[in-house]
Amino acid sequence: MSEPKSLTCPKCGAPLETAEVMPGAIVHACPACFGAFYSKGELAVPVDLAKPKPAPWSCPVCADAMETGTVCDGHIELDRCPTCGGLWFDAGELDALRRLTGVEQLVRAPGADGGDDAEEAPPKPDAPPAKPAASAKPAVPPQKRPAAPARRETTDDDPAPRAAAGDGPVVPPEMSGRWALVQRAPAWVKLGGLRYDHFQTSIPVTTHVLGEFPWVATVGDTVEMSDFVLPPFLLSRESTDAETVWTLGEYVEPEEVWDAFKLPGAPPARRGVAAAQPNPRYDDALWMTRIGVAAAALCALAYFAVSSFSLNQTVADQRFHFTAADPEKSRVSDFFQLGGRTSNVELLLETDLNNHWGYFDVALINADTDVAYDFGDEIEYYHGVDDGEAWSEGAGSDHVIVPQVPPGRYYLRVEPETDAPALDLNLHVVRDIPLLRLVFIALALLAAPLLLVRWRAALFENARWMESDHPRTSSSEDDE
Amino acid sequence: MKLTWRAAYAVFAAAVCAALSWALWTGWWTMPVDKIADVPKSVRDNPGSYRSHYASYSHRYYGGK
Repeated sequence: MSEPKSLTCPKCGAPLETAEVMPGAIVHACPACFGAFYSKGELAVPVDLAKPKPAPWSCPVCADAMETGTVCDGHIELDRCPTCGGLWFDAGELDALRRLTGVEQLVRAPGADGGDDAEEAPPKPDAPPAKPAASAKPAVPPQKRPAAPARRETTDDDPAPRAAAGDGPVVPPEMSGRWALVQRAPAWVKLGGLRYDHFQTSIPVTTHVLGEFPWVATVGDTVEMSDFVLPPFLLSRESTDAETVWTLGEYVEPEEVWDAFKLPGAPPARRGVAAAQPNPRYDDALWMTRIGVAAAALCALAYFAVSSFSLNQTVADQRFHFTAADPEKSRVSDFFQLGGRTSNVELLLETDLNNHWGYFDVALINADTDVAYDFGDEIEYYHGVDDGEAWSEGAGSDHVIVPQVPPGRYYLRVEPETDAPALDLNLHVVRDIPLLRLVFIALALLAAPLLLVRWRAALFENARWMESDHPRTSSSEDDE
Repeated sequence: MKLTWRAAYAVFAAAVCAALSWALWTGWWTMPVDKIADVPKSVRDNPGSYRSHYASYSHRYYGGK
């Protein structure tokens, strides 16, 4: 096709621009009146003008006079060049043709079957997939797919995100009385090795246009728009019949905008959480987790270090026998030596209590300084069979940690109270044992602030995803 | 604000590590023990003369299962 280098709009005279509406398919579009010229064979639908008559404008390609006729039972008036066969669509006419024919893919890919002869074939009203526009009846309901014939953005093939598994069944959403067949968006996409999670898919409808656009914007245009987030980045996919455009945005704080444009006053108060708004708690949680892990490692190191110095030594093992008939129930043990530094002492009290209880008043007395460490311990052990079911409660032994006992020569004084007629008590004394339970207490203390921050981070994320197609709500909220 | 949270937690974590080390080294534990000074040496010969703070403990059995 020999075309002039500079084409002008047949309607308004503005220079036409070329647009690649799909790979290899070039159309000429007017940036002023938003009309578009399609060469012969570029449309998948054979267009046969009814009642053609000479038009007052010329073909932008071959400069011959065009003719005007109607298609779709007179619903659309189109201009055609009788010489080259090209068609001129005023703004909105291509979309109207799409609606009335029910053919979503109006632009034919180069090399597709049919070629130029398709337009020359006689109208075949019911021949799928393309119905001749001249005899087509409006499709009910019209499956509206967006038209962007002159849009200049094209799919960026090289860095195009890879969609993950998740392209699922076709779902028909309805928005304001409009229906569209869209495919479920993938759960996530990857771009540059980073994963962006699907946030929302919507079908915005152009209701009015204000300002300049580098593409033809028509009232009623729709586009399937899917957002994928990796805060602070927002990856958006806008899909029409002709193209898919990916854009990558980055969240900007309102204060930055105000500062950049030197706007007066303060930005309006924020409401909710934006899709790509960074979670301010996330970094806190991340850093605090690192600090917590390091602190936990230090705690473990401290435990093993102290354990290596601990005596963990049995220093006394003495048995006492008590009977109800004893006039004096108090007993004292032999002397024993507590060595090492000031540390703890563990007393293991083992009894032969059987369906009885005993309370032991114990004093660990330093024979040199006359300082006593006084404490009590209750032991009870009951068992039986009720309704054929065996049960037991308590235990016949217990152990007590006496904290921070200086080294020295000690003895024990024990005075029991019991409802048992006789009682045997074995006292087992161990010096300086490392208490692992202290490490667990420390870990719990370290974890508490972490859980708090992570909980706040989760609240933030819940607020973010509440506005998405994947709200994180409880089952009870779902029921509502 | 972020720095405050992290710094506060770092200080807290350091304090926990220090407290744990001290508790492990000194044998600290939560067990309530009365420390009584000047216990008469005669206790060893007459253990029944010692009157413990815990002797007033009320011991009653409330039943098993």
